Amino acid sequence: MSTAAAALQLRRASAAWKALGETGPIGLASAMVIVIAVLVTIFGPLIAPSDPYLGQLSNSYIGPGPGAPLGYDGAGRDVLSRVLVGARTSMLGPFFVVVLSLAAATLLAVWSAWVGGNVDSVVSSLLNVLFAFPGILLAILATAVFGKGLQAATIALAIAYTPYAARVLRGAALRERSLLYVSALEVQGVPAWAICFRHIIPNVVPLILAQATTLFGYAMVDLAAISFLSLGVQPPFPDWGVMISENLSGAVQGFPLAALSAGLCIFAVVISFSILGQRLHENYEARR
Amino acid sequence: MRVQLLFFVRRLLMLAATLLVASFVIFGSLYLAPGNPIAVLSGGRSLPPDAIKILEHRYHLDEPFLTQYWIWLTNAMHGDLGISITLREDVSILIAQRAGSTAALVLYAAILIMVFGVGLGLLGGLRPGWIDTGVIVTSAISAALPAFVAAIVLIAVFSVGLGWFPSLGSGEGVLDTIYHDTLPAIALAASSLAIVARVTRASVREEFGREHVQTAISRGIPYPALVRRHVLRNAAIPITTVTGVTIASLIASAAIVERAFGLNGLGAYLVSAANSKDFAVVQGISLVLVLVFVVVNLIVDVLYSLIDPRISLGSRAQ
Repeated sequence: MSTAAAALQLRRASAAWKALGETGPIGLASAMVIVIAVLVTIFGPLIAPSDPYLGQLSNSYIGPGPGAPLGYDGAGRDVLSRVLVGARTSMLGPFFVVVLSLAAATLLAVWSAWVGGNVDSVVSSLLNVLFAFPGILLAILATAVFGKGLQAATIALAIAYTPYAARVLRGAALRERSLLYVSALEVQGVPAWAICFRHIIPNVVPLILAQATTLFGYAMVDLAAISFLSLGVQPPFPDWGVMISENLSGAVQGFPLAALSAGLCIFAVVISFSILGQRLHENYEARR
Repeated sequence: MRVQLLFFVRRLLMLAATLLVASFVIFGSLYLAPGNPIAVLSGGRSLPPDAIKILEHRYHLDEPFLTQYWIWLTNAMHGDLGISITLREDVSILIAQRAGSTAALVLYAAILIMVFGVGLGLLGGLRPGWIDTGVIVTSAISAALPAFVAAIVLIAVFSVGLGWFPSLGSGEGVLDTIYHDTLPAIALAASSLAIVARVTRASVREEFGREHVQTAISRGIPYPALVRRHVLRNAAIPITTVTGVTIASLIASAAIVERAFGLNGLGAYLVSAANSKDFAVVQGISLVLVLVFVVVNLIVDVLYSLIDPRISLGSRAQ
């Protein structure tokens, strides 16, 4: 990497930090919650105080006590340990949804904005058909076809989210396409792919990040819902959606803590991503 | 008026095209699903070749894919969605038995969204200060509340704690259904309601900042007339759009609430059919849900063009 390229990388990295700083105290607090959730995703199984799979039925729905700050679930398993271990699927699933759908959306948006004409209208109408499928429905359909599990649901949701991200990114890509610097590069004979990948996409990265942040929350809710419907992650793995589903009967009997613990984790992560995404988007629009 | 009629016809054609592609996706994906339909029909037992032939012929399994799709589609248009392999009944009858329960739930949630979502948004938009701050905080919290988490909280507080509402099952008759559907409808509406409130508040605020409203204020137009004629009239466009779109999306997420509260609706049935690989049912319900979703979106588009004839027809407020 040349010095100029390295300097550019550095500038972009510091710009990302600055963008985060500009989100204000509430935005920073949301970022903190997300960082904690990511740390739990990585180290959860290591810091879990007890075995998340080993239960004692005599402990069924016993409230918080020494050694179990969140009490026990219906099968007498430690809720805290299960929440910590369950972060893995609950966080990684949405992560893959966001990465896949934004990669597809960015490529589609930039490609159709660049070529325009027929390609643009074909891509637009294909995406319009996808709008006819609510994400949850597509995910249920996918699990019916490819079998229950996180994989089918993740891919289905990635497909379902692509049109939403692509619509926003296409507008931004069209705006970039009409700017003078793009024409200047074209006149200099820079190949189209290079202009797209080295210039247009890096310039819409702030918007991609804002979209990613917003979509992560939606993906987390939808994937947990699929697991709640027993079509996603399968028990005994303590995915947060699975935990809510398992402990639903406990809530009806008056022991909501086990289900609420997992629910609160989803709520905290979703609200943090939603606030951060909104702030990032506002700042992007304001800078334009 | 002619322009609007043309727009309507064009939208209907688009809707038909979308449904055609969607039906192809629904049929095609389940056709590709691994597993032999005959094996499912026979329950895993081995059948004599003659019996297999008869079954293949009855379910058109010996036809090429496109012919099968065409038979399925034309039958579906006549209201025949095939036979459920687990319950051995007409899928359309099974769907009809459960559609009412889901429709009641979604309608109830839609009313909650229209009344409280728009109401909270107007309150926040028209009353700056601590009321507005309250609306912002409430809607931020409610927006991040997934239906299944809201369900747990509602059951814990209002069903187990206070004993005001039942936590399970659906009711008989109108009043009893409303009684049984109250908690499910709130859980279903929670996050959509917040989105509607947020958009309503933002668009009312935006209209207040507009020049024509400032002019109206300086002309001394009384406040109620100002709000009604100048602010709400213009803010109605994004509010209608977001309300319609969020209500349309409830149709699919009703499945979650039906599972949480043990309601016997379409969504819960779709999930159990997906679980038991009852493909005719999965196809049928998916088709119905997509149809309703697309039609509701069409209604929103038409409403939108009626509210605001200025903007070029067919483009939606972002």
